[in-house]
Amino acid sequence: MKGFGERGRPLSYGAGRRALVAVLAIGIGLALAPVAFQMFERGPKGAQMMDEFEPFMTDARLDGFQGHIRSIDAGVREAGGPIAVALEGRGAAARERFEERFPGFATFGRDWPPIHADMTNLLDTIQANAGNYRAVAALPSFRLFPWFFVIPGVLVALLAIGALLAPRARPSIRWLLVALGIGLVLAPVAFQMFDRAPKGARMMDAFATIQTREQVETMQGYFATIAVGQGSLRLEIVPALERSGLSASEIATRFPDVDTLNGGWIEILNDLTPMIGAMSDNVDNYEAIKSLPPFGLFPWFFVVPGLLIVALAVLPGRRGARPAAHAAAAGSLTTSGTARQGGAS
Amino acid sequence: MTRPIRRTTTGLLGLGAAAVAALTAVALVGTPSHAQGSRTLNGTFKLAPGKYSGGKASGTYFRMITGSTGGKRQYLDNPDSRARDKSYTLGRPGREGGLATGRFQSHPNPPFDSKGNARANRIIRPEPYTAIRFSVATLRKDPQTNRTSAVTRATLNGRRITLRVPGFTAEWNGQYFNQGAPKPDGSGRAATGTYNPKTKRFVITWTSKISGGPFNGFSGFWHLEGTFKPR
Repeated sequence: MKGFGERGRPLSYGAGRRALVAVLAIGIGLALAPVAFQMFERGPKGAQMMDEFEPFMTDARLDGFQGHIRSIDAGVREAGGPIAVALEGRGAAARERFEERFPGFATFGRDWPPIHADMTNLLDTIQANAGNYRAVAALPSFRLFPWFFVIPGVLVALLAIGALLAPRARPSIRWLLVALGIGLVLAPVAFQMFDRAPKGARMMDAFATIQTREQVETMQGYFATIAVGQGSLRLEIVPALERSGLSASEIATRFPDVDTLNGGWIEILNDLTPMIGAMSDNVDNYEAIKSLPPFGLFPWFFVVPGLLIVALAVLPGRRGARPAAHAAAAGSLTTSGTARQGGAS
Repeated sequence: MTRPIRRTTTGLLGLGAAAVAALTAVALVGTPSHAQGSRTLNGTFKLAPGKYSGGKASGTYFRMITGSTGGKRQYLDNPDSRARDKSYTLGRPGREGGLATGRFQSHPNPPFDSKGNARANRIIRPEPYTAIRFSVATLRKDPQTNRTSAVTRATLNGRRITLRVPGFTAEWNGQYFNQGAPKPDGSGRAATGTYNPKTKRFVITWTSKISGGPFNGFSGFWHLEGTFKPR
């Protein structure tokens, strides 16, 4: 197998030179791709988002969030039902008295159902994409991403330049280029990009409605509503039960959901506010990654140039393997000596 | 042809020189009066406890502004507030009595307990904020941006105080929220207020936007009131 038109073979030499120029262009293209896609700016932002989401993307943590939402829901239902009856009695008038007495909780009770639905939906979406997140997290860091293009790109370009400037070195350079090309083709396989990148694409699509400034502000509003409502439950309704003659243990026995919510409130805050913070802090980072080409295409950014480099390194050699036939057909051999040299090489 | 051009050039240069001289004179006249009128306050702004009565708050307090609707500010209520209006979180002076100039008043180590309650207690005592205690400290290094903040400085011009407190940081639930005036990067305004040189009574207020974290985009409104104690 010969490549890039070994010395002294004008026809394959010309074809090899063209192939080398094409390889040089591919190398430069690879090296400049991160600049074109602003990967040096966006890559670290993506890495930051992945890092900051990591603590929240475990099954245990996500199950915990779902548990918090269920706990709030159960507490709201119990306070608005059996507790309201215990404090004010049954009927519409009693209900009105309860709401007048605890306006903070009454507002929360009305606001909670849509908040509950929205937050459950949000958590379901996040949980459904936890596997996709982990697949992306298992890829090399986004910070390194640009260098996966720059380093092979520069190497390919330098080898192509070397081969153009030093024709005698072409046979050995050809093999290096073939190895680099194969490396590029195999890199996505080694990093399981064909499996992980589409999962990343699905995660990015799913988060498109979550990682927005508007959604974060909605979550901040939910937090305010929940905090005020829980405050009313903890600081007004439970003390009212105590004043009605119930001890703390009786309240816990009769109204376990409210007791659980109040007892777990700090843990809920400990979990919920950092999550809102991580969502808020990464709106811009998400946008930065979203502006990159679709994740699903990334494996092909390695495979296609890799295959092209291998083909360009190999095909001219095949073409030049029958120099006499080509020369006879073209009648363009300059000297028989050059033909002998080429054939002997 | 050259003479008129030279004359014009000379004339313009003369005018320019006169203008520069006039501006310099104005600046020189203005600067000393400003410098003479302002002086640095070194000491501690001893804080009066926050109070709420008759629908009005006084002393030391904080409010979280979430936005505005129809030109009216909206606040995040703190159910644990001791004020009747839960948008006010009333403060009480801490171990050092208040806010000191010329030095940082950092938090202890660790800054939070296992539940996320803030432990800083030099400026104010930790106060519950939706069940978790929050407090403030002045930090040399902003934990949110890793920027270095200048130390707290106060200047007095007549009865007007300007307080520069870029390291002022609210701490809550294991998180930090810079509330500097101006911010550590110099953006935003300094805190301003009034001062009575005879009684040393002061009132200082400022608003500082929260950048990052769960309250990103909200703003803290701070109202410090009390008596200044010179060093």
